[in-house]
Amino acid sequence: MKTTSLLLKAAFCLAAWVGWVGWLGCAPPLAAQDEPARVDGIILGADNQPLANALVTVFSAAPRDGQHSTVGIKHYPDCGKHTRTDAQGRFVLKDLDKELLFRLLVTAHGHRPDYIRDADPQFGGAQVKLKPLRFTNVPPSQRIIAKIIDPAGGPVVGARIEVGGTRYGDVSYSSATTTKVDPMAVSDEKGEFFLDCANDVSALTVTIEGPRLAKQRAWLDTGKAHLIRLKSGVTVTGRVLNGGKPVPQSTLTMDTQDREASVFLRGFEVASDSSGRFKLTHVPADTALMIYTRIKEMEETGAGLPARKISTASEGSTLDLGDLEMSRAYMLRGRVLLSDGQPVPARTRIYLGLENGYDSKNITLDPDGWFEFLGVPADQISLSVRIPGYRVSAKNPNKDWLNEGRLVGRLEKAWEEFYIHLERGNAFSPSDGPATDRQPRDKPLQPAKIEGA
Amino acid sequence: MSPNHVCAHRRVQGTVLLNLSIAGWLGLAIVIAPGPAGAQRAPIRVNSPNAESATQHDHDMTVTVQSPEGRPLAGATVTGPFLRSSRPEAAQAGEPVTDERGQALVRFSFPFAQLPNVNLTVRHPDYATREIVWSGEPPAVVQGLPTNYTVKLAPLITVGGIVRNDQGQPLPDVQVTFFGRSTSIGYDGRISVRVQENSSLPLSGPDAVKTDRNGVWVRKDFPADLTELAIEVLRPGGAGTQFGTGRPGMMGGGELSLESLRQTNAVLIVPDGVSVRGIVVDERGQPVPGITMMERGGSMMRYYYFTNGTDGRFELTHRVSADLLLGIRSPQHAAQSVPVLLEGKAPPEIRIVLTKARPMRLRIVGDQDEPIPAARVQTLDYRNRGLLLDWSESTDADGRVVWTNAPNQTMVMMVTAPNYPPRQIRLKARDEEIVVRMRQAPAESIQVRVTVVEAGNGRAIAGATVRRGFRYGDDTEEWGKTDANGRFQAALTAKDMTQSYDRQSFAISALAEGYSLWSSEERFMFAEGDLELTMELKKSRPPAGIVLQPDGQPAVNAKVALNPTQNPLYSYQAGDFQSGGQGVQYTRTAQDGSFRFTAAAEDNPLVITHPTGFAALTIEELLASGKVPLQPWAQVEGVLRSSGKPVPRERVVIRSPLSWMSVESYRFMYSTTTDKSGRFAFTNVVPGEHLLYRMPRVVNGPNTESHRLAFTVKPGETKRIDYTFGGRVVTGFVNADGPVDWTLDAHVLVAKQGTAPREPAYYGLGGQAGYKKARRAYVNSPAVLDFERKQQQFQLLFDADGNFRVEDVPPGNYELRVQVSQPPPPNQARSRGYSGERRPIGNLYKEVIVPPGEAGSKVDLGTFELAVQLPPSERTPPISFQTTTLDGQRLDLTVLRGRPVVLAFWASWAPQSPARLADLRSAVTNLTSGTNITFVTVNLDEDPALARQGVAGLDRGWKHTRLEGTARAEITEKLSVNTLPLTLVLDPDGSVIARDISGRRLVSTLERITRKLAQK
Repeated sequence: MKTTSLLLKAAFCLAAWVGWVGWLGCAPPLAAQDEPARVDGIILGADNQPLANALVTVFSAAPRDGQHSTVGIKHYPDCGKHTRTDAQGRFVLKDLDKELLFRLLVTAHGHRPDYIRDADPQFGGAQVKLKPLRFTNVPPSQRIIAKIIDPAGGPVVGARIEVGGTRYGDVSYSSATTTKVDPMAVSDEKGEFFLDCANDVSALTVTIEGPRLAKQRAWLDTGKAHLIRLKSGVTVTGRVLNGGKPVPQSTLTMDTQDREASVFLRGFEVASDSSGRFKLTHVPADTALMIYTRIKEMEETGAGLPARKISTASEGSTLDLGDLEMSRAYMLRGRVLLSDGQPVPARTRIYLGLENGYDSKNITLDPDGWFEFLGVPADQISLSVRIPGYRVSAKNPNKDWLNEGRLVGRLEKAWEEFYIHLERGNAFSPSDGPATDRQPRDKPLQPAKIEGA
Repeated sequence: MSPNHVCAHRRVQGTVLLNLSIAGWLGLAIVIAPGPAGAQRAPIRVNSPNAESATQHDHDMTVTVQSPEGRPLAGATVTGPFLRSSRPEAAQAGEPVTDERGQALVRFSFPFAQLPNVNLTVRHPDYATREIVWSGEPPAVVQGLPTNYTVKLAPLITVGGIVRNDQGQPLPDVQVTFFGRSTSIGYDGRISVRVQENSSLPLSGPDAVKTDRNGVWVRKDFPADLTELAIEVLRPGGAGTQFGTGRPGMMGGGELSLESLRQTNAVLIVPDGVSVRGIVVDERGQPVPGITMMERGGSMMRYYYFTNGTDGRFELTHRVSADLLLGIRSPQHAAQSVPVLLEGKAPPEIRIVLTKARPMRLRIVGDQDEPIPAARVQTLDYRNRGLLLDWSESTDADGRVVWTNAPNQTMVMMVTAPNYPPRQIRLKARDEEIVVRMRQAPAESIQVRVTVVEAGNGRAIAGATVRRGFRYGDDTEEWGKTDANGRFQAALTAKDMTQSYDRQSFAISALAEGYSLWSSEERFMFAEGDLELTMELKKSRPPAGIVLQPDGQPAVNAKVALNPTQNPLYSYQAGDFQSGGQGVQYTRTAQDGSFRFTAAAEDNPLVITHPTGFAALTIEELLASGKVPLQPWAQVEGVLRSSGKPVPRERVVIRSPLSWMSVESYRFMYSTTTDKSGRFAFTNVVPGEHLLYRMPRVVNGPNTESHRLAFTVKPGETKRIDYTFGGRVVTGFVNADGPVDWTLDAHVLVAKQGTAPREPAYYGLGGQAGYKKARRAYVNSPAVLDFERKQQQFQLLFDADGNFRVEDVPPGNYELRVQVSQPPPPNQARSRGYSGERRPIGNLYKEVIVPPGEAGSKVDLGTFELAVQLPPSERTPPISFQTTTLDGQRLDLTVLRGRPVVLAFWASWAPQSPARLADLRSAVTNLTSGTNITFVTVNLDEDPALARQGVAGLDRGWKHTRLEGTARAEITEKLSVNTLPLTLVLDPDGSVIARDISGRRLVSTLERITRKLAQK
């Protein structure tokens, strides 16, 4: 009896699989040249069954030719277009720009939202399998309900709500969320969404992003219904120059200067156009931000913008930064030395971070402890390396005495041999070290002073 | 500098203002009675500008004065520094007076824009005097003053009581002096301009209240809204005793009950104290009669002036403070000051030897060396510890002034001259004339010249390390070394001073091998100019010793902290101590357990930690034995229970010493969270007496010690604690009549117990060492320790509506203490709670009884009314917007003015909306008084049908509306409608007086509004 039942189930699954694969097979392999571009596909549930009534939204887009986007990727006209799957879990999004590739955001009742990446209107068959929600059937006191509206008072459809942290009681905050709440929600056609939380959570900090609207950070208390108003924001423009010449396709990044959990926003990005001009739209109003070039881009181009602070004005305004001159990026090549002469353990990683921007890079030390970073701006940076049983010694002039394992300082030139000295011992006590300048961010970065090195 | 600080150093005509602890506590200027005839005093400008030129800044303001009911009050006078009337008729009278509309047009004439605060005082014979203070970062205060300001005066009531001595006998003819306020005064430099108001008491002058022959007194001009008060009872002969609200045992007299004052039956017990006797003699030992003397410390609030007898003797009776300062004012003799230590017993007869007068000749000149006539030179109390001076004089036409009987010590004096910022300068009388140059701009640098010598023989110490310190608490850094003559000289620049915690002051210390550490007791002020200092170092052995483990073996690699600063060491993590600032020296013991520092003072503490144990001792104790045996760490384990059940996930803390007033060298505080079985444990506990308490995670404001339990743990012991009181579950309801965020403050039930043992009223007039000694003796006395052990309180957990609950409260008499602060602006409420300035907007103190009952049984204390007073600047402006009724009509909210309005925002997608609407319906039904309140629902759904469905059945007297389109976004933003449902209660003027309230708080709020309207 049991065997029969299993066999029946297997047969049913096979039939379903053949069914939707067959349907995909029937989809046109290429969109006809003159037809309006469309993306179609199918959404499956955790049980591999097609999911009806799933909401599929265009979340972001990017040029298909691999160029950097000169429009904010979440602010293309197609962003926000949405549809629902039919009874067979199928969906079609029509009238899309065929020169773009899309990231779709999919959500369905009882399931965790997920993305379909690089959905191509010139090819069919986008698909994703949604996992079930981790937190269900919680009491009303642990559910967060919200509605998002735009400046015209209308519902914002397809907004992504990302959980950044949780609060216990009224004061304790944790950025660890996986065991407390599902990581993401998406607003429906009424602009509504909910998030269910574990019992001890009293609030969540979330980032809310809607198409062609300024993203927002907010604390949402559990057990309450929240009204969230997204704004259009402001526009930041300027021109990127290198040696006085316009630089096309240079990607600029912005984050809020304040990194406190309830206000920190990051990931505002846009590339300059052929005349070096850039236009970042839907940036939060009345906010201080840092604008800079990411390390990855500087690695490629050898130049970039060190972080600088800008302040946006009131809603609807435009901030023109004028001409922004790039400066050269440096190489930082060096070696981690252990005081006892031992080789560094295999797979030891070293991290380089920008102190004034939210960007970092990490690489693995070679067996002799050597490392090499390219594309490092002339700016305040940090270097972190941790090896169990060792600590950053006082021989490193830029030792961060407040954070074990770190050096901080201002990079002012390229380095071929930058030594970082680690010695045996436990982390220093907070009372150790110099009385002043315990976190020498503004001190020129200097290698460790080691005799014979 | 805070406004308190400014006031505390002010002198006005015929008065002296002291900066003593009660003044700081109340934030008040304290006025001293005039001295004997002939005392030379004159007003000086108090709000010192920086380097600003004498440009005039005028500002006109119409001040409207109203009665408590809002009726215009004519005949009120408006006064304040920098103020003159712009009404010609009032200008003749000297002060602006309100007209029949209650208005006075006043003009401020500021000599400088760099003022941190601007004050106004409004007086009316039939109402309480009101003080208004605008404060903030200059020049925002002057530039941000309003052109219109309305102030309501509080009514006057009668208070009174009886004064007895500690034998229970009534004391006739004693003077009762008051200082009080209705709201707190704060100053926050981060906020551009703040305005704060408080009612104040007229200070007692010649017509001060005195007790009758039965010791009874009454006062009829007491502001009805005063919430904090201090009283000094002054006996004939100048002995004062102080009493205060809210701070038991702090001022010699004890705690004061406002309630008993209002009932005119307050009992003030004045101790008889001790007598101080002395004699004044000349250099040949002959008694000198008729010398005028003054005393500071006998009364907290006054100097007492007296003259010795024909035999040269004097006697001061009934003194209760722990120290006094006497000053000699004889024209023929050098001014002299004598500190006197009492410490609860009469001191031996004091012998004061007069010395010959020595004149100090000063010439005050300006930037261009021009002599400055009419410049005022005067002594400063607060910068001259150990000196009691009271002299001031103006320069003549040549800028010259002479103090004929100046003291022999170096002292700091204040010079004020027209068109120049005031200047403080360090001076000592010498034979030649001293030229004091006034400066428009502060000095860029000063010279510090130090000579380090051996105490006793004056031998120069070469190579001594001179250290300077900018942070609070004598944290110092190496500055340089003395030369072969023991001298060190260096410049201190204005840039250096940016490191100073107050940007004005610095400390100096010196150390040399084989000598005790020398630290300056006072902080020196950069503005006081060049500094010359001789440091006398005492011979001493180097601070070194051997640390032994509890088993007697050498303790290798033990951490030794030498703390020459005034700040204690803290331990927040098991087995380690750290300093909050800099200046603490650390070392580790060698293989033989030995350690050594270069130099230290005898009273410097050492704290030693090692995995096996702990030790705390002074350098003096170390030098006596040379060996330091460690005490093994103790452990504490326990289970937190309430009503017999374990309490999981609750924060529990242990700390020592018992009293925060303690001057111990270390403080110890570990916290942990109970596990699911209510268990908690602490390791590396310092042996001794500790306090265990709960700290519920509900308060964004200051932490509170709830369910306090004192215990002692022996060295090496594992202490097991069953943490419960077997108490009851206490509930209640606080009905606030304004917006309240209960999480911003800690609200408590405080167990009633007697007042704390009297603290010695010790001012440290003679020096810090005596102050520390007296304080340590007080804090460690059995009576104080016993009082601390018995202190008990229980933190109340509030819901948003004002219902509170607390578990495990033993039966007994308690005081319910609820204090509420103004909620932060929405954009300043951060994830970790609001950390900005907190300003009280209401408080409630009520005695309650928790009757006996079974452990875990409930007791409801009932309803308590709480009046919320928002400062005038924070009251919301009337709100107005247009909305659409469900039948399509436009509704302008302004048409509803004149009666209270309840606005209920709701939406069908917000699950609690139906319940809130039902709650509103219930509120309407339960209103016992009239129902002239308009209920307006504002729906935010897309679909009007959902709106109609939701309000079906709410008919009579209700207006149902909805917002759509841009209005939905704009109006909800304007009114901060961020969660739904949301109820706003508007007064007849359209201002929001309550927000997000429901249940019985909504009903009681509506009842109150209706009652108020009926009374009108």
